[in-house]
Amino acid sequence: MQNTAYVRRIFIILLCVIVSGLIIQRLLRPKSFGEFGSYRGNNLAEIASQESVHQGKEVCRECHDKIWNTHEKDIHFSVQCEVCHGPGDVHVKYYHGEVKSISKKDAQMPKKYTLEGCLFCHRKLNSRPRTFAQIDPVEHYRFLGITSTDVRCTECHSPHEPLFLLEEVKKARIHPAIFECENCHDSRPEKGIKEVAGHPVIFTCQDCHPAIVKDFTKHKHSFMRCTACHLFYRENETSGRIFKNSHQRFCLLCHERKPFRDPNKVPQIDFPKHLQDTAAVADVNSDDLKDDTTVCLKCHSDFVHDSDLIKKIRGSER
Amino acid sequence: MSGFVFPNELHVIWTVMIVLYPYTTGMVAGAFIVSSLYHVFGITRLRPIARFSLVSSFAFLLFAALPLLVHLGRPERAFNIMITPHFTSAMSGFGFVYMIYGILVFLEIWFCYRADFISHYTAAGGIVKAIYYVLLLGVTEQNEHTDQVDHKMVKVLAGVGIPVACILHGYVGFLFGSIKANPWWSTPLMFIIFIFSAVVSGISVLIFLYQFVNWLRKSAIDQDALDVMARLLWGFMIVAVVLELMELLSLAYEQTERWAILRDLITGKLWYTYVVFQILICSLGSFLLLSFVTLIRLPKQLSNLLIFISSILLLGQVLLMRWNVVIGGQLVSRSYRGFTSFLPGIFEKEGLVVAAVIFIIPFLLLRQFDKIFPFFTPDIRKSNA
Amino acid sequence: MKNEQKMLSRRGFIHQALYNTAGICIGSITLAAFGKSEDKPIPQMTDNLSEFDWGFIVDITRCIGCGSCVRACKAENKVPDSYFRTWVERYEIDANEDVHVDSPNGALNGFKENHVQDKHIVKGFFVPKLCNHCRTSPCVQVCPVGASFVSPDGVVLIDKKHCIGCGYCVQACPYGCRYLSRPPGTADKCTLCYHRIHRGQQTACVLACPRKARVCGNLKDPDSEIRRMLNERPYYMLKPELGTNPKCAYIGLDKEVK
Repeated sequence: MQNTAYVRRIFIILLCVIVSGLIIQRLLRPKSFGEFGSYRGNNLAEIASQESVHQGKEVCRECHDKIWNTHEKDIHFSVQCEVCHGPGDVHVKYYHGEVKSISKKDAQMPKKYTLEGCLFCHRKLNSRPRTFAQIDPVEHYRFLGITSTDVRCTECHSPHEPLFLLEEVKKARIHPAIFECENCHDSRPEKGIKEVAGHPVIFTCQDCHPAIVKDFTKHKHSFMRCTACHLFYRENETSGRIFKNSHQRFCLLCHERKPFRDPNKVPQIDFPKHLQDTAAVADVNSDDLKDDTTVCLKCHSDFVHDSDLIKKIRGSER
Repeated sequence: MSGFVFPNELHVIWTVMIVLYPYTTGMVAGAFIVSSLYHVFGITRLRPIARFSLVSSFAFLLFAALPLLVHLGRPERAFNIMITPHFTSAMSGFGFVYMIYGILVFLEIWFCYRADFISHYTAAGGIVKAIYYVLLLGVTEQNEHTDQVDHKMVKVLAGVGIPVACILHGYVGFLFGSIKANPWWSTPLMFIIFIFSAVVSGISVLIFLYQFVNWLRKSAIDQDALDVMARLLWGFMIVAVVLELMELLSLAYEQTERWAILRDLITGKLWYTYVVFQILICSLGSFLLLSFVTLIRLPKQLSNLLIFISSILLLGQVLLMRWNVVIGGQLVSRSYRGFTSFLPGIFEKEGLVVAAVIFIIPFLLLRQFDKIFPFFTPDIRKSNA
Repeated sequence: MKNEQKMLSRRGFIHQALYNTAGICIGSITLAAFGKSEDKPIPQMTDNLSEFDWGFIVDITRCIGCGSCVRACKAENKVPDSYFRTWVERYEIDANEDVHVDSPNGALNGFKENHVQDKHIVKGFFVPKLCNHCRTSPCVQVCPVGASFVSPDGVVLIDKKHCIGCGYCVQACPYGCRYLSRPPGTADKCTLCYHRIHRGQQTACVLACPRKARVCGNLKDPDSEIRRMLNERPYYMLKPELGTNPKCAYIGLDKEVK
């Protein structure tokens, strides 16, 4: 009837709106939607095609193999090149000749050798695992007699060769995990482990090397911990690698004369002048001395250990 | 920031617009339910304001989605929600529910106002007459039979509309309440709390407008309608506030892991907006006023004044409740260890000025609509309103 | 006269309303149509994705809080300032079991000094955090448009071209690893360097870590390092009670870490 036709008409219009809405929805829906799930399937490939920024150290090796080998041998092998030098994508693209629009200046990679650069990792913090090598800069400088506060770490330490290891770190001798007092105590306690009742049973150097430890107390370096020179690198909970650190550069970390170091605190020599003087006195070629990586110990081993004792132990232990 | 928050939590992303959105849809749902109380449940004393409620609901609805559009990071993609809806998401239903509700209310208004359209059609000429003709879908006849049909359609639509209105606003509550990651939001009650406070805000805004407009025009109000609305407001606000307080009591009593940080939130960052203003001043205040009005015989002028003040207090209460829920929940860190802070911007894209403008526009629209189709005068048809 | 004025204003209003409505309808459909008009064909993924299920391990006993991972991630993925795809938290616990937690700028510049200076700290550690790539991820569940999804190889990703920037996923993540930055107005988070792992490269954070505190690998490969570590060491997940089934395992997780 004419009267109520409007009811029919409005609902027909409504139906048309709904149907056309559904059609439009189908048309506007992205084609790859639903391919793998309720999302645009093409997006997986879109995301995966994003360019990589960090190159990884194998790429650096292509051109910088000499420093790469040095770096890989020493304790910082686990620190990627790009962590200190920044991402290498622009640098690599320029030197591979891939992108013409990059200038040489853009492609430079900075050497971030500021104090903070090393302290990101090596600053002493309460929350850091105590077995990790860390220093309080103030305390470290005081210990070494460094008088100026803005001396950079790199004045003494080489970032690529921090320990001057004589053997590659991954091939160094395996050693059971050792504990030092500082692993649990804030400062070196006055009493030894054996003197405290109920102290947890832990390996110390003394337990396996009693003769050496006893002898060590008689020498000039007796105030130092064993692990200051015999660095122990803990690889896992039970074991790690130990290094003998007898490289001449290692001794020089403390003993090379530097303008910022107090000569009264630590005995210092001029290097390589010291070798030339010695060569003159000993009537040997100073170049030969310089090439000898463990040259310091040739004369000064008594400052550290009794060399006869060491020879005797070496003979019997191996 | 105080204590510890996750670094990304420093940024509060759901701000003024997301406070405004449930506030507006709350009024949409609330006003519609008031209208349906007459059309479906036959509370005849509400007849004078039934059309007004319905049209208010529609006016608020037209601008309810605007805060969301302003908030979206990519508003040009807003239709993705209907093109590729992901139905596990509570938000995915928004587009469809909004549309369905919009169509429903539009239809109900259309059936409600058909007689008015016809009278305007007869009086008009030229292009306006043509427009009315199209609007009436070519049927310009009105008689008792069509009146009955219209009445029945309105009743059906009003009935169907109640759950739809509840979903339209309730899904926002569900959205918040189902976010298990947020200790302040996560509760199954949120859906119900939001619906009841929506009805409170709906009735409040109707009372406010009704009294305010009639005061401006120096015209008489229908005392019966106002009394019924005041009584309904009293009842609904008691339920809404009790639900919220019960939720809080439950948290405080069970003292699960989240209670410590929530207690700090309530006594710290939300002390003024929640405890002092929302609960003490607005909820308790309006409860006392409405109790006086409902339980004690007061002179009409005083009682109407108290009702008016209560409606303002409750409008504030519901706005504060939205603020405390939305902003408060984002102030708490998921680490349970600290709070971030938030101050709304004034002239920003999602700032207070834009919010005020978006909020006021529906009222201006209502005013325009009233000029053409006065909704305070009841329908000429006897069986309809 | 008054009637005519009234009619004019009425006519004017109706004209306005009709034109505006028509304009908005046509405009928005056109915009939407152009936005979705063409999904250009892209080279297909050639890997057999279902053979992979990417997982992650964070070894709290090894982390030194240097922040190299945070810096590397920022550089690799161009993460905007004050937003983080990964960060490192520091915990300091004193003798009264009071816990102090901080993460200065997400540890982007490392940690400059001890946070607690005036008390003796009995226990301290660093916790790197990142997206846990949950199996039943709440962020995927709540995305209204399907822009947040789990790839067939178990990585939770975001479709930046489809995301509308509503921020629901940011609210739904219990671990605080998502963010919404404007520009670009879309949600973002750790993608497990999806572009790198599909080229056989390590994720930027795993590459940068000098301590092997982060491990990423294929959980479905029984010979992988990640599988071996999960089989050998005790580990825990964050907020397991929420049922997100996260795939990031924390070795050495302390009860204070939320």
